[in-house]
Amino acid sequence: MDTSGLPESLRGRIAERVALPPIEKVRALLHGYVADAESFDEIRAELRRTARTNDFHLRQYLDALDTVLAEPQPPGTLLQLVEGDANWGIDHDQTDSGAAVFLREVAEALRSVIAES
Amino acid sequence: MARQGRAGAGQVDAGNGGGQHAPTPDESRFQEILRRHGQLGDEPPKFNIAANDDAHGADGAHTIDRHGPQLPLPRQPGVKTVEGRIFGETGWGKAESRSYKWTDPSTMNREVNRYVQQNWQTIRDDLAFDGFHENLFNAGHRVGQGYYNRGMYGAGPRQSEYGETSLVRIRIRVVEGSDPAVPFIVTAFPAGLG
Repeated sequence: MDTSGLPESLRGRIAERVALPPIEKVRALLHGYVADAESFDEIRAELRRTARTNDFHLRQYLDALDTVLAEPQPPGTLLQLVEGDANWGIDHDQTDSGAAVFLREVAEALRSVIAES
Repeated sequence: MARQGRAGAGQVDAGNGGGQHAPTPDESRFQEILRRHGQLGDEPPKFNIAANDDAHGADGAHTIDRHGPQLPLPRQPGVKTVEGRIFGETGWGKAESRSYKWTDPSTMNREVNRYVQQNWQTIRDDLAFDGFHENLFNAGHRVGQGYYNRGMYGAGPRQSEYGETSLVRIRIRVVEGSDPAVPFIVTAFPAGLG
């Protein structure tokens, strides 16, 4: 997206968010859309609200989440993303593997919302 | 509303050159961003959270419902409580790792408005771009009380532990389709780290 005609502060803000490492983009996704949600329906509804306006950052988040899930992470990273950043209890499987299942579900929700937009 | 093209999505040219792979700008979306930016203006809005939630509940506003000072703290059978959210009990959809409420209405309104006042330029930029802003900030003093799950990260069985916090997570949106753009608080809540 060519942002050269936008106000300088806005260009800087976009560039700042684009430059974040994948793990920080995933945290932003979880903080913004998952951490206070009561259900996956609510997560999808909030993602759709943003996508209907502009899905640019959502695409960034999806790429980052796919990257984090595809690459090896230090032990405990995925579990912390889910039970910490996403504030989502996974008592049935408090492991990185269990966390990956949840994060893949988030990725699929995001992927489908972007496909709709 | 016209949609951004798929080709090259995820790339950005922030105006510093190197845009040879950037997609063709969607002129309609570009103008919408500029229009919202102008409409949101230089002056930060002021919010009353109770009025905000009444007006924008259908848009997802829920600060009072989930984090209002009126919520009882300790678990009570059949009652929606702050502690009960750790266990996904009455009134809650699932179990959370952390559940906090504002200490009182004046603190809630003051800290939200202080944050908006001090960060309006960034908030405005985010709202203009895709209608959404989120952040975590430290109020520098106690603003909320609640519980976290001592058993998270596999430490043991689910168990609530009382805590107080100065941290606040906030989400702000523009009402979809509003013209001029109307910002509202989706949620603002004390966010203990646990």
